[in-house]
Amino acid sequence: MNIGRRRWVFAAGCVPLVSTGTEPAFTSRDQFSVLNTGASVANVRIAVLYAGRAEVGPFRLGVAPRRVRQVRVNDLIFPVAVRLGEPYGLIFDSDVAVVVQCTRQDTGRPLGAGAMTNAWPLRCRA
Amino acid sequence: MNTVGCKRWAIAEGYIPGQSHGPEPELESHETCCILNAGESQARIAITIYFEDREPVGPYTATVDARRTLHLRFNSLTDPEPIPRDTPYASVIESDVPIVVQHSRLDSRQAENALMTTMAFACE
Amino acid sequence: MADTWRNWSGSVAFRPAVFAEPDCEDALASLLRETHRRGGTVRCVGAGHSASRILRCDDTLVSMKHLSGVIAVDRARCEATVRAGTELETLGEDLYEHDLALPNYGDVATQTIGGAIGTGTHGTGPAQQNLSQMMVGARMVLADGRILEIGRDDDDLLRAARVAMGTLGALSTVTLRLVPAFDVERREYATSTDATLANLDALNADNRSFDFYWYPRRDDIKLRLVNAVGGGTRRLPYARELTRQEGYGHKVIPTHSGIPHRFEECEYALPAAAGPACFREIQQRIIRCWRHVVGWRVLYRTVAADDADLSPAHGRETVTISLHQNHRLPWRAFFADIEPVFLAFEGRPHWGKKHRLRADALAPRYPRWRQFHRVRDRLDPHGTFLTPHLRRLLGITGP
Repeated sequence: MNIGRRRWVFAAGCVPLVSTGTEPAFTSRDQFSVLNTGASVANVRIAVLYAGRAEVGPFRLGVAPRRVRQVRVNDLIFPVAVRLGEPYGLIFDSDVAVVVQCTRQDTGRPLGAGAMTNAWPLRCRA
Repeated sequence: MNTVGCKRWAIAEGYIPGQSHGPEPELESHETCCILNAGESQARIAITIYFEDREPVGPYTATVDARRTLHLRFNSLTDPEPIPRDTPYASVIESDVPIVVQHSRLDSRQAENALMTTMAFACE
Repeated sequence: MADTWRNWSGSVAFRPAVFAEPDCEDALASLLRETHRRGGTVRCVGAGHSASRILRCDDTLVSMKHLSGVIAVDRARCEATVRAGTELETLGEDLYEHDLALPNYGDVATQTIGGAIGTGTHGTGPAQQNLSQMMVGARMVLADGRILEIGRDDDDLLRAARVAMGTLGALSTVTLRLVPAFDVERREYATSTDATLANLDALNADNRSFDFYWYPRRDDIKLRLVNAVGGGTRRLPYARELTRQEGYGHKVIPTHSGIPHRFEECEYALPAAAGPACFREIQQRIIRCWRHVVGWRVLYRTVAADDADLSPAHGRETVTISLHQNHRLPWRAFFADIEPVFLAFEGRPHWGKKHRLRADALAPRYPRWRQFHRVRDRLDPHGTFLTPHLRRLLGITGP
């Protein structure tokens, strides 16, 4: 059973710059989880798109069958470090269907709160 | 007949912190899958947990009555085994009738901890 | 005009008028003689790993790639004479066949031995001097094509020639003081910055070659320990072991899992006692101001003191701190921002990496600056090996 899709997009990226608390546990970050429920390795390529500069990537990620893999966007540094504190988006392309979820931990100031969700799309055939 | 939702859901991001800072149970660090059964018959739920470095574990079973919600804390799952704390995991939720699932999390380890999460947008 | 020549990282690029690849010492000598006769300028290049402008030359660039290979080995004395264009990786393998080894390596092994010696390449370990100190003799082709033999008793010449950036002459062969081939174990651990600094003295004292990588994006550390097999490495209760690897020195010491992309580097050598405080300041400054574009590691190493005139480890036990940045991200501003921190701790820049110092700032940092210049003036009075950049770097105004 292969749950998911082969292509995913995260549009709301922006890694917070300031952290409070012991790192790396409390490093402010964006991170994503890629779940592979299938029987073969998922080879995932990620493109990072910026507002006012050329995109970077591909960042390569493999996810073993029946495993999840969690990666911090902050730690995407090869081939080139993703810029922090700047809006960005991610496009995930996988050779097999996977499920992708994106999370932000912001430890920059006390009692912050946030919300993040997909807008509701009108389905249309591309 | 008012069926809403799907029979299979996946939450790729899971993490139950080992520590909390605040009165339990409201401010205990926790992670929840919120299940809504808008249909007319009871939903029988089976949850499988996936990890980074070991085989998946499950099924964890639950039921959600017709026209009811269930906010199921991952913290309180124990059978077959508790979900390890401070460990990334993912979950697949399956039901015999259509349901809707959302994911919520509270991380109360320190005052400076704002958490936001979303599904990435799934393309065709 | 020759093709554009680029260094390894790509940030040093220029078109020399002539690019030559002499295939033997005679050809090298005759090329130098000819260039000298017409008043031209020559620079010799090894592997082109250097990222500073010491190589840049509008006139003649000479590649040493064909002057390669081991000439003579004295196993009993643990010495070998090798051609200066031999790459360290090949040299390690060839010497191993004679049951000999370089006592240490830098972080990579792509340099030629001549280039490594010329720029003060080093590895890590409080008892490990830099690679230049291996040189106990040499054959050097001077600007006018004459051969100069430097013997083991030519103290002043050796002290000048170890770390001379090819400004005295072109090294043709070098005689190296080596050690019997040895096998080592490398272990790598993950831990926090605080735990590393709290245990730093013990880590340096308890291991043959200890260094660490600090990661700006996570503020955590990879400890890298190299010791003799079967008796070196202590358990570290505060760290999580990542990998272990065993093998002969030339296989294990240079990092083959290095940064797999072109990078720019800035490194300074500090008095060892100032290492931890300097690192702390740099760590905090990077977290505060540079995390948005800096993701690559900072490398912290130790080097034993030596007496070579222009060695960054001259006269003091040394700590070196190296910054790395992707060549396509802002590196100039990053390095320029951190440089004052290095300077405040009496740092000396690595000759082969990025820095902004010139003679006025460099001379006071080297007690034997004048002695070096005396030797250089004598060996290359017409400045055949001097480019405008080198003149500014070394403060040479005359011919």
